[in-house]
Amino acid sequence: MNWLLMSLLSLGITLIAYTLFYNVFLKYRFALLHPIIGTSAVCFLYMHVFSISTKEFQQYTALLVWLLWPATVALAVPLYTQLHLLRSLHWRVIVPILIGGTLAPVLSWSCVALLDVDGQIKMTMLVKSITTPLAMQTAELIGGISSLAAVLVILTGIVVAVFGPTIAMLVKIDNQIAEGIAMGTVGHAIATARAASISEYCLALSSASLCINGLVTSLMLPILFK
Amino acid sequence: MTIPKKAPISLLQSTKKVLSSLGIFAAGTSVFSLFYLLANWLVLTFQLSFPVGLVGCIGCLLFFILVKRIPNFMVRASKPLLGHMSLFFVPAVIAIVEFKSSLAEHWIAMLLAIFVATLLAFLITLLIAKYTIGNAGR
Repeated sequence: MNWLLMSLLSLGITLIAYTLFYNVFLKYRFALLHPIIGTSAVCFLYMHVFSISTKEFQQYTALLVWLLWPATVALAVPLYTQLHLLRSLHWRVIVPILIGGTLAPVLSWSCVALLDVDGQIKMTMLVKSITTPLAMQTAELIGGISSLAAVLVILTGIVVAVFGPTIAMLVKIDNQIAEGIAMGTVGHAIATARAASISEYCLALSSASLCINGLVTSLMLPILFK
Repeated sequence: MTIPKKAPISLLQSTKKVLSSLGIFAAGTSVFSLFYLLANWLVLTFQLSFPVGLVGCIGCLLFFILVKRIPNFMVRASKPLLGHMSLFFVPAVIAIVEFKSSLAEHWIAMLLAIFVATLLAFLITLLIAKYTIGNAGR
């Protein structure tokens, strides 16, 4: 009974906090207001007030974790709808995605390797530019930390969403397809949400890039590092 | 001229609408879950070292290619699943507290990796994409 009550309370608080922060995000459309940041903060506070451990909270909110399974598979929907773009632009899109998808983890890994960071954190850095559900599972397979992967992926997405368009402006690149590819490849779903505010082309290329980079990286990393 | 009054939606109609949406979501989510479970079985049986979600996603994509369309109920179920995906990460993100001391110890490296490496990778990808796309995206 107590377990059921705590599950309902934990799920309720998480859902209410998410709805609140999601509406704030929709209103202001600013990446730093991403609902996961505010929702997590509220959940931390709730855990602290009710003296709930991380493990207990994860057990109470297991339903949300379960929904991550079908959500990962559902990534096939945007990938299928963007197939025509890949057919028409083929290597012009694939080459920058493959190069960017390799560079992003290698550069991040080099940063932490140069400063002698723990092996587990180093391995987690390799998945920071792919979409969260794939990043979490891939991190586990290559000896990283799945929860850290989720946080790193979100922070990476926020950085690209906030600073990406400014960088494109600074280097005077006014090419929405190129911008979409770079945003989706390096900044995954969060930057893709930002790409939606640029143009439809930018959004389409960004979602295609995030799907391809996610598939290729999560296929390659376990082969290379397991 | 009198403005015709909009017919109020009855409670029964709105309940029917909500139940129908829930039914479609449940059906689509069940099919996506079936792909996931099938992928899980494949990964375990053949001891594949790929994420189960990835195998499930590829399986689902192959299914769409095979039937040459996405069934409507799956498109409708995918919208809330993908649109609110960040909600499903909250329990995982919470576990970050377990690593706070390790992260605090290496904060400079983390900052470099998250800001400098990410933006450098973005810039290089952007330049390469601009080169390969040419004038098509202007």
